[in-house]
Amino acid sequence: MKSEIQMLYAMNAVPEEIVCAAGKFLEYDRFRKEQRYQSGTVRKLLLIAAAVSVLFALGIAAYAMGFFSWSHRNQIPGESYSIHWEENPNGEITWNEFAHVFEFTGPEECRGVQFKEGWLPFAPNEQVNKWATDENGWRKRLVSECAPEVDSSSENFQPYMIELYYTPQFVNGGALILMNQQPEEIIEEQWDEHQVLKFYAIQHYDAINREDLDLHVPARDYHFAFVILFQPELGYIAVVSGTSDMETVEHVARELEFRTTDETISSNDFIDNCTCIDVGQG
Amino acid sequence: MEDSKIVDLYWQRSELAIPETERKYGSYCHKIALNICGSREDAEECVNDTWLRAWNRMPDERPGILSAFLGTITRNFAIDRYRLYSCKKRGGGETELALDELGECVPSQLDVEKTLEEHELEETIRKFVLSLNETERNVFLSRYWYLASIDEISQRLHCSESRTKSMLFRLRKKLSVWLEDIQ
Repeated sequence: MKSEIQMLYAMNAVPEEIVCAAGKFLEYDRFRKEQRYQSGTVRKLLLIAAAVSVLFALGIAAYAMGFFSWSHRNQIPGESYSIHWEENPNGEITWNEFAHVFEFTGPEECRGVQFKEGWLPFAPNEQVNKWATDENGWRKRLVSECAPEVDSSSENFQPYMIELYYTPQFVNGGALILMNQQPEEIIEEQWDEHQVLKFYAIQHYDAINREDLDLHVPARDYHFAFVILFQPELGYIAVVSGTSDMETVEHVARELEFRTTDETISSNDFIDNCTCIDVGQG
Repeated sequence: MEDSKIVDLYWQRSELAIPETERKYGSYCHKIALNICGSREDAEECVNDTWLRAWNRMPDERPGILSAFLGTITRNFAIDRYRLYSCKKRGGGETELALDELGECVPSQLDVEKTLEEHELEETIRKFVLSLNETERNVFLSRYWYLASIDEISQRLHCSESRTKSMLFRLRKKLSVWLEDIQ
């Protein structure tokens, strides 16, 4: 083993320019920006400077600024995830069938995040979203149950929804799971500091024929548009989804403004190390 | 802040030098140390040691590329720490794998410690790396300088892990030939 260690040390002789280039290839050269910066045409406020100052003041080292990473895949046959579920006798519920899995690696802590919308196709019902919105309009979640001009049975029954998840929840073998919506082609993009996945996903609903209720609904497929933003330095995941078309959902996603909070999110904060993306659930 | 200004702070013995360095390169150095040690606590100590070492070396030194200068210091501290049993016990998993891979490059009849002077080995590896094309260099150094995982490298290459492993295998074979040549 000593020979190999010696080879590791010997690589110090590689010219700095080449080492630096490899660092850029790995994107290790990226560092946090303390000033306001833009994402596309939209200014996104991240209170990084404040967060960094707090970290330094508290003597907390740079681990909180470590890099997170993610990957995604379809379900592996036989794979399952379990979460706590008190209603069941064994205290948990197991998911055996799901559409897609997002896995993450990185530190077990990150900063809390809030967002503010810059554009929406129409205003949300603030009463519904009040619990997740602070007095200045910064939100943890935002959902629109249906467009004003349509009823809840319309295909556009949930035009947009924005949710935040945190990577530390998933780093210990867990996953963020897309349960019922089967993704079509997944497009990967980079929007400044966000790694982005865009895709449509189809959710199939069986026909409903209830003679007793005189209810007859044919089988149908609903299309959900997804734009998932992952911030690898801060470790948050913003899932923007909806029954609107991709153009609308992407417009919502691009105009989001994010900021960090003083809250520290830790793996220990979560009972389960997996959860499913809450789409079409109301 | 530009690197040259940060270096100036060191030369001026300004107290701002270390906070400015940490702000700009804290994540970078931490990532390098974490890859090698596999432990956040060890990585944190390596990074703190890096700032102290940088403070002691500037002046007299004036680094050409500050990130590489700091990264090399961090990397050396991290390898030192990895060598301690306590660190290895906590699981520098990626480092162990990478070392096993590097072991394949060492010709069976070659005992690096005995037959090669340190500078010979350094010069051989330097020349070997310079002989590679840009992609090969990035992949080789990602794995054996930064100790990045196969998964991470594959993501940067936008290819499968098996393809990355295959490329690394070919690179190790090449390195093995270079090491044989210098016996």
